Amino acid sequence: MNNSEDQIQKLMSLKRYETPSDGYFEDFLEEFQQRQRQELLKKSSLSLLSERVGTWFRELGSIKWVAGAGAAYAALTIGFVLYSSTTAPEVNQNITPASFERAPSEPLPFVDFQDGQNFRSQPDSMREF
Amino acid sequence: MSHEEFTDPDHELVRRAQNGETRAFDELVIKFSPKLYGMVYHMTSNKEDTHDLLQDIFAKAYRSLKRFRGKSTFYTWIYSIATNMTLNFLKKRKRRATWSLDNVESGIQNDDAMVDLAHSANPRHQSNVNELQQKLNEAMQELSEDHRAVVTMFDIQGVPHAEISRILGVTEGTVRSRLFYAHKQLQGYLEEYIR
Repeated sequence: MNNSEDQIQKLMSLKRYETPSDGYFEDFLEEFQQRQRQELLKKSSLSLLSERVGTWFRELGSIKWVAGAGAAYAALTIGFVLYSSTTAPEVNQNITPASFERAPSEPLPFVDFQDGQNFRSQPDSMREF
Repeated sequence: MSHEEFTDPDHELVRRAQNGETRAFDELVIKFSPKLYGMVYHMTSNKEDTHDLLQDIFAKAYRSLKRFRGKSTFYTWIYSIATNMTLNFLKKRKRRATWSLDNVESGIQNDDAMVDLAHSANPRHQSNVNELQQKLNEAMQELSEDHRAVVTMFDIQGVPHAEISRILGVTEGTVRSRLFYAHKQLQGYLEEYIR
């Protein structure tokens, strides 16, 4: 190892004198223990909730199969609706809507009212509502 | 009993911690937090980030403890976790490091390197400790994370090449070449401090 590299190593090794304040590591452990307790409580709450739900479900009796099927059907329906809404086909903006205006050259459609189907010619009393 | 169980001084503590003894894990925290703090701090140059990361590191080690099979020492195992989490943190941290440096112990004045600097003919070399601390941290932050990691472990913490290669999961040759390159870069930044 050459002299420069040796000096570099010695200089960098001076960084080990940069240390946290006195008592830091004791406080660090306390904070870690507190965090562990909080995580344990959280896990306990979740497992308690899971247990409660499980107990309720078991106590439903035979109806639990109907409830389970209903929940599955609801989940599938919601899933399908969400899937459909996210994969809706794109609308082609270049299509012009159909026009309901009659082309001038086309004759009007002929309606034959001879068999009495023109209700306007009959008196009001004979109209059926 | 495997070879590692003979050579791992923490084997018994780890076994008790794996069996659920939280006090045993507390002892492991007390034992390794200074070393791991140093590694994270020298990589980040930020004591607040170091504190948060170190809490996460030990939390992850605790959750993963049952998966530790003793194929390496516990020290190597937890040091690997710490290094990987720190490197991931640095990669995600897009902004340039906001420095928040620890104080420097007074014992630095008696270190050979400081004594050499104080006796240097060049008055510029007789720098005060704070200025030197700034300069060393600047130089470290100019290195890539991978190069900074080997400098931290070898030059600052005195970890042997073989251990660094196990921690980083690279060959010893890679460790040596990264160190060589890092030292070349550091020579450029710290030229004024080298005779």
